Amino acid sequence: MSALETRAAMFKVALLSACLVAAAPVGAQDAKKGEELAQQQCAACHGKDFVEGVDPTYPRLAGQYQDYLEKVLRDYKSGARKNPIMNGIAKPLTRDDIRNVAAYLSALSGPLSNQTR
Amino acid sequence: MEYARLEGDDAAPLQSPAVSHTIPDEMKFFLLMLLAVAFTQSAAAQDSKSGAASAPSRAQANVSMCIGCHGIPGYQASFPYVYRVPKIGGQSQPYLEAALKAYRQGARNHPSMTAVAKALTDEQITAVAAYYAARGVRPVVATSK
Repeated sequence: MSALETRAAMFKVALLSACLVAAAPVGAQDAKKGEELAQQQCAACHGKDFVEGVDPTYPRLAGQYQDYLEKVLRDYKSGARKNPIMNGIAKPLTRDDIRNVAAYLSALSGPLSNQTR
Repeated sequence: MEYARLEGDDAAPLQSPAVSHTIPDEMKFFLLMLLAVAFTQSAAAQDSKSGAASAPSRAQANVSMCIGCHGIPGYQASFPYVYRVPKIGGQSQPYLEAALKAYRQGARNHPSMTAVAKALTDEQITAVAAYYAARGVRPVVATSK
């Protein structure tokens, strides 16, 4: 293989790797990690199924919109929304934690709906 | 427990708020209209089914102020940033009451929700909460084996 060919081959490899890196989702959510975190941190109050919490004033989370859940957790983390328990829970969560937990919860099956009839 | 999926209620991976900002307004309007039409049709199909017996009727609960945002699957609030307004059908009644009261007294803040909640009496809050709590997706009944 000539030096030129070698260089061309190396260039192709580099180009291919660049494409692969670009194709990988940036900041992809991980519902599996979300599940672990949710079962550790949230299930004790909101219920293992996230439908029936230990107190009826605790909201059902299963099947809620992911972006709404993220907003709520961000607001609890920042203190924009106040609840002594939830502020404490949300404070240490990273941005990825919040996305992962919200991804997991929103994919669960539950009674929540937009029905108005 | 398994619950039925609602028509138009996608569980598909959603675009991040940052992405949705880039959707042109005409497109947003078009999509919203599409959703509205789809919703009207699915709602019409559900007309024949009656709600839970104990829940207040639509007129009793006076939910006209809720449905503009909470009755459109995937409807996005745009302030202070973009996210879909929460599903409240099938939510726990005591939670809904607590949420409305928190908005009413200013413990929880959202411009539209604060305005709506401030106009409600305790009785109206109870009625609205009962109305929405009864509007969840029913669990899919397992076939006998």
